[in-house]
Amino acid sequence: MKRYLLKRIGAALVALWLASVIVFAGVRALPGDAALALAGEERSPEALAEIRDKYGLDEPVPVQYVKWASLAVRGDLGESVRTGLDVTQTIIDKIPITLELAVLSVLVGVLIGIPAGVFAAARRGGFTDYASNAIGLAGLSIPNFWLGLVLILFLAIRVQIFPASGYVPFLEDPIGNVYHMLLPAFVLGSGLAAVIMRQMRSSMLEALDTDYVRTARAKGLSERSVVGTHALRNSLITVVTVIGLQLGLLISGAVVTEQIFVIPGFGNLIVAAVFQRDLPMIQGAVLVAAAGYIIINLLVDISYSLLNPRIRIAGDAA
Amino acid sequence: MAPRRPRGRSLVALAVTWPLIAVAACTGEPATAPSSDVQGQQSFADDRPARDGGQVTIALAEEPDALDPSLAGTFVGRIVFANMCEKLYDTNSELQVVPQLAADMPDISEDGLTVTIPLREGLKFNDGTPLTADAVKQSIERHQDIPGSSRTAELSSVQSVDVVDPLTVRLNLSEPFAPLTSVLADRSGMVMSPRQMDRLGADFGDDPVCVGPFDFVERRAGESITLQRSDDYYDADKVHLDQVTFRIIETGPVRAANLRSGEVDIAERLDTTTLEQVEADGSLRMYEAGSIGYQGITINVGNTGGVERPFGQRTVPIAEDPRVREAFELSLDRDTINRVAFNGRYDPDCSPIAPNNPMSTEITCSERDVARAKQLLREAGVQTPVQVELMLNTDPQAVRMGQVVQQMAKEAGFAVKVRPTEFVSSLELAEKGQFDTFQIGWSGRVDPDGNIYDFHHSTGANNYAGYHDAELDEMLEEARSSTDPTQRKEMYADIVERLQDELGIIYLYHENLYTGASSDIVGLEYYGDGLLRLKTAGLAQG
Repeated sequence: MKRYLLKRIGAALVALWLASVIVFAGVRALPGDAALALAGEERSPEALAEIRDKYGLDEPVPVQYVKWASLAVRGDLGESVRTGLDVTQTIIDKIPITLELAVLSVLVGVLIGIPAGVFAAARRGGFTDYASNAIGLAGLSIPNFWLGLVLILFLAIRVQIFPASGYVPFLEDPIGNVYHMLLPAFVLGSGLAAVIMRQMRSSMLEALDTDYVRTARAKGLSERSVVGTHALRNSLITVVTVIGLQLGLLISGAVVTEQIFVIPGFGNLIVAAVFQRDLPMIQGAVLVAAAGYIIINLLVDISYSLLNPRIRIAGDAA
Repeated sequence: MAPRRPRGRSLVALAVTWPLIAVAACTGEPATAPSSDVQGQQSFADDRPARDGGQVTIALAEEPDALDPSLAGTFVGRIVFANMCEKLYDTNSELQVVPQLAADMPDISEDGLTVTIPLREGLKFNDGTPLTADAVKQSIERHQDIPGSSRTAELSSVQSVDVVDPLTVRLNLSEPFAPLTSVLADRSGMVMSPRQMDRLGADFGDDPVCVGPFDFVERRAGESITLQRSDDYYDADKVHLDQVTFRIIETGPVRAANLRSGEVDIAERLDTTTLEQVEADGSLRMYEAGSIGYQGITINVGNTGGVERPFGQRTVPIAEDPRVREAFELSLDRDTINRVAFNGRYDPDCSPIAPNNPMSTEITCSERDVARAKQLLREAGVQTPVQVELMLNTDPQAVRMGQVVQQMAKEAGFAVKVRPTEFVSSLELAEKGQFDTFQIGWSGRVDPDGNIYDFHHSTGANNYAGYHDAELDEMLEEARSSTDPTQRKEMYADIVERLQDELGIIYLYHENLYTGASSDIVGLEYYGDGLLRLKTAGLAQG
């Protein structure tokens, strides 16, 4: 077990290092002279030279990398070139916001998609089925930024039920926090709900056609028990996998949703940093995101090995 | 604002604009006719007194950079500074330079090399320390010396600063420089608290302390900047508001939506496509100001190797022959461009100096004349259609404008290829001279030198056109060293005429700046420099 663990952690560290190199090089490959972006309107040759000097933009890239990496390892990701604020602290402040949005969106997607899918499958061919299909199709095709703006227009401007934008920290005001997140979570979760609904429906239909369900029916179990317990439980496995796959899209969807609802989250942070050529911020944020994925992957691998002895043993032996 | 920095992420802005309009149109909102030409300041006949206290939230179109007057380079940062960091001089509603922290206009010696500035008595920084000539000296020197400073170019003529007495400062110049006073009406004239400068050094922007109606409280990256009323301010009895919060909402339609929903009280620089909805809303007011900047098409005439190298001559028709440039200009109808691309909201013009500038002079712009354009091309002996590449920003307004230009120029014999390019990339290409024509503007400076010199002088840092003419150089140098305003005004009239002949830049229009605010707000000042001044602003009583 230990050998397997060490190997996986070692691989993760290598992946992290590679990610840092790619991020660093990639950011410097962005078209457009970073010094021009950082100079704002005052772009005299003297000002540009000062900026290049101050941020070491003229130094050889490997040198710049070593300087940055040696601080990053200690958790110091530098200062935002745009605002002067600490990059690490800014990222720490923003990640929970986007995570909350993502989690709430998944909740919305699940709370709408699963029941809808179950009913569509249970009443297959009926009106509910067709209606759900139509709504599902709409949910998939409607761009979330359009949906967001329309909802703002009708629910925040014409009738002022929801706020048009903003974010309130959870610890400051839990109710205000959720209140501000409702529309954004709905907008972001609607696409996910559509996908879940369709997947749920087809998994259920498959499950309802299997031998064990036929057996359950033959045994005289109620329809509710057949559908709600047996078919549902087995369909959920595929749906959970689908949710996992959709999470990546959720993060990118969060970027646009954050723009529409002016949520100061992680997505907004990266987009702004790229347009401003805020090199330390881009590097820091993308590195943190990459680290997040690598760590999650590592944990999943480890949990697989814990759950399945064969993987563990094979890993040790290899 | 700046050189036409795209406001809002282009893709999002492009996609969200039309559905919002479509839905709004379907809901049958009454449209109000756009107001006529707007110059100077928008004021409302409003006798309502402001109550004491209250707070106001303002939506900015971009995030400011560092709140450090020495380092700051963004236009939007100046809006924040206008409320927490006063300067030696300021601009009034007539766009004239007037004293702010200074007691009077500067005393300039005969030879123009000595500038003496008297300071107002009894002023205190927002940390309670006194404003003295030493503080001014330290501030100016910091503006010049600090690594990464954005102020070095505009203060390059200042050789040294002397403290004559606690309330008098003397600047010794290496050469006469008339625009200096207007330079001191911008960030270079901002005076910072020496105690805070000594405490924070290069991190002054983390907690800036100046003289101002409001004092900096906190900043959350990408989110907000909060200021609160200052008790140390010399005019504190004129200030009504307790707190001012700036929020950053980059996408135009979202900014307008938040204003309409009441999430923010003021939204600056509204997109032209959102103006009608805001104007139709009875609970809101529209503040308009004519910008002191310009927008135009820069033609790469001589920028063959980058702005820092000596200029040469490009060998394409539009660069070689002024008749081809004139033909291009004659193919364009500025009014139509304004109507189609900007809902008629901007001011067509052919000069870099806005009409509301006290130094501007009457000018007649050429009307569209396709026949003459074709004739000029024939005379120039160029093969038609003349190939022209137009680089511009990716936001919807710019692209719309490019398409109108393309269609119009086609009729005269130009084949214009529109090349939308991301902003920072386009700047780099322009600096390197790797472009044909570039639609770019300038946010504007009160002194006409600030709108012309850097763009047309052979040593100008923003001279993307690569324009170099010894005679024009001389005219520009003379105009900036003369200390007689009447004489300068005449000189600039001549310069603008000359620019019209050479057409290194085809000037097209001046933007109008539109800021929407809740009608509960009184005392808000909004001039052609586009800065929101909240010193006397407040919420109406009753």
